[in-house]
Amino acid sequence: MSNESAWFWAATTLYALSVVGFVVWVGFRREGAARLAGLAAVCGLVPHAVSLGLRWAAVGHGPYSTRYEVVSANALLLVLVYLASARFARGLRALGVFVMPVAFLMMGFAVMTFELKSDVPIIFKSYWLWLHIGFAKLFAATIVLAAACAGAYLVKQRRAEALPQLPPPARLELLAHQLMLVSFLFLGVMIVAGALWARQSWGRYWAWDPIETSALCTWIVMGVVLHFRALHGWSGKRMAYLTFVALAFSLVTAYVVAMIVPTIHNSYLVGQ
Amino acid sequence: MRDAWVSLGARLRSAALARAVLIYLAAYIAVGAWLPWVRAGSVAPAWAASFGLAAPFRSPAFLGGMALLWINAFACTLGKRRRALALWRGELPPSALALAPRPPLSPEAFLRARGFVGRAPLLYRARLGVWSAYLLHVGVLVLMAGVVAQQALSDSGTFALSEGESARLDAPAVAFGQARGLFAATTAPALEVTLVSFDPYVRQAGYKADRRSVLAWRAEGLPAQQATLDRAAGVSVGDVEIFQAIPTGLSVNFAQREVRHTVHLREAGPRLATAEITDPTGVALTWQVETEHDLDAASGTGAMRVSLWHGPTRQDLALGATFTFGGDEARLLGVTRWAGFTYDRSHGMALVLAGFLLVLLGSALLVLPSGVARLARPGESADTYVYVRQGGEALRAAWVGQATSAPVRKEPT
Repeated sequence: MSNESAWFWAATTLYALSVVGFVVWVGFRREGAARLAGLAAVCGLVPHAVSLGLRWAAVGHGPYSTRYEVVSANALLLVLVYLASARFARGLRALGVFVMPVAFLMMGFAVMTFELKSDVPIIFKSYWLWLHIGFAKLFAATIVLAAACAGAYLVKQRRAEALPQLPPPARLELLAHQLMLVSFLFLGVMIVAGALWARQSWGRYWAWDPIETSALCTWIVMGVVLHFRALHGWSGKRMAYLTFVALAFSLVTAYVVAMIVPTIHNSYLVGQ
Repeated sequence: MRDAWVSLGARLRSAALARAVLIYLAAYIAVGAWLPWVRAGSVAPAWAASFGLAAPFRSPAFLGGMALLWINAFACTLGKRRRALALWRGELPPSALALAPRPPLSPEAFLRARGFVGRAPLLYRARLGVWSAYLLHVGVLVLMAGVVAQQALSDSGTFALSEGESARLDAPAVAFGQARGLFAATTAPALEVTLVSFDPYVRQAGYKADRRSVLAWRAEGLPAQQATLDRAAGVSVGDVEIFQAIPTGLSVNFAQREVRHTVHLREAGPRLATAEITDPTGVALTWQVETEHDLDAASGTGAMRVSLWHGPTRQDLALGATFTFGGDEARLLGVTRWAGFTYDRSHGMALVLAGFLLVLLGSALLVLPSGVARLARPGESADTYVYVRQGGEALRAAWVGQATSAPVRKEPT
């Protein structure tokens, strides 16, 4: 087992421990399990970052090529954004019961292409790359958190006594909305940075590539969702379901299109 | 007549129209992205062409939707400025939340604990945020107008040069594949470009092997310049930008009366490149180069066999060999590579960038939990009125000290 592989599996094991801890905390209301879950998630970040750093050193570029690098880095950022959000809004700590299983599954999805390593195309020699890819990862993390808040809201609406560790439904609904606004901004920055990067490399800022088209579609769908709230006063369950719609479009854009359609973005999930 | 205009205005800025147009465009784009013929090298089927969907994002159905979106956003934006300005000045909308007095609790202390600042009776939270929706909509309008202006004023094209070859882009048959907006210049840029050197497979540290050129250019009124170009970024020459393109191939170079001629060959097989030309006397000729290895082999093509076909007659040529071309003697100088480039004159791009900036600024302000509150005067037992763009229900719940309450009515915007 290589060093990189050992660090990766150490992170995955700690995330698995965190999942168990959150389930025990939420399911059996054991406070000790909450501390263990949080600690495992925080500690998991260290070997996770080391494994990505080792890969970076080995291939000479950041985690933005091949499925392993991309999905593993997305999982790292998801856990980081979740822990930061939980620090900012203490009541969000129990969202780990939704977020950590997602992070754990992402590690499983990533490791399928662990052995694949590739150089990146010369067009990656651009400062726009950092903005485009960085905000793509932040967007993916925040929309998952928004959906987690919406899911928790639905659970608490149905049974008020469920998930007592989480804030009241009104607060969860507000947090889901605020996180969606943040992800709307991050998606906008990602699209604009990508357009300016394309302009720098090819002289055109838009080419209707399947992924950029899908990202624009997701941005418009999120705009529609925000209009429903702002103009029609939609809230509660309906907004929670619309948050899931936005999440579905985001997942298709980030993870599905590149795997099934030829696009200039293939390298980031397929490694071509 | 006036009523009809008022009614039309109300319809154009209605939330129902905004919702319908956005859903229509999202659905159209979602479907358009998956159409198999939008991918490079694919041809639209006859039925799609007959419905004007061969290029779905240039079709009347799409452009009409975008035009309707612009009109709707414009009509909505007119009212948004007035409402944002009123909030900025502390004028609360009728839908503001009323916090009934709950002695001994102080509404001012309650609001200040939640980020409201200012001098009583007017308190603000993230005051700049009241402009978010207005700026976002202005940004969308500027962006869409910018795209239209940029498309109308810009032109682009492709050209190819062999190592050592010079060409004026506005000379006949130099630029091809030109795309030109309605109000764009009708000729290619008056620019003389020389390909000093070209390597199709340079490996730069950390990246896959890719094209790299050294280009020199001369434009009227500008000093001659030279730059190294790869596919990571273009070079600017006045208002023209030049970009390295992917296409490359072999070219045959020969001299006649001390004048250099270059023929660009196209790939006719993995190890075969050809070009059919007509010499100055009108005779059809075919240049042919066969290679030992593949034409695109990064390690090189290996040995080459250069031939000139006069109808069925083949003449093999060695380096420096002479042959007849247009009734006159010519000499083969060698075989090099040609490189493809694109040029682009993007007038109106500043408006597109301004649109991007405003959209992002509006989106960033949208995240702020902005609010305006008007406190009851000291000693009064009146309600305190609060307008918050997000979290009215949570705020009211916190004030009355219970987990849930009636939903807050939203102000139509």
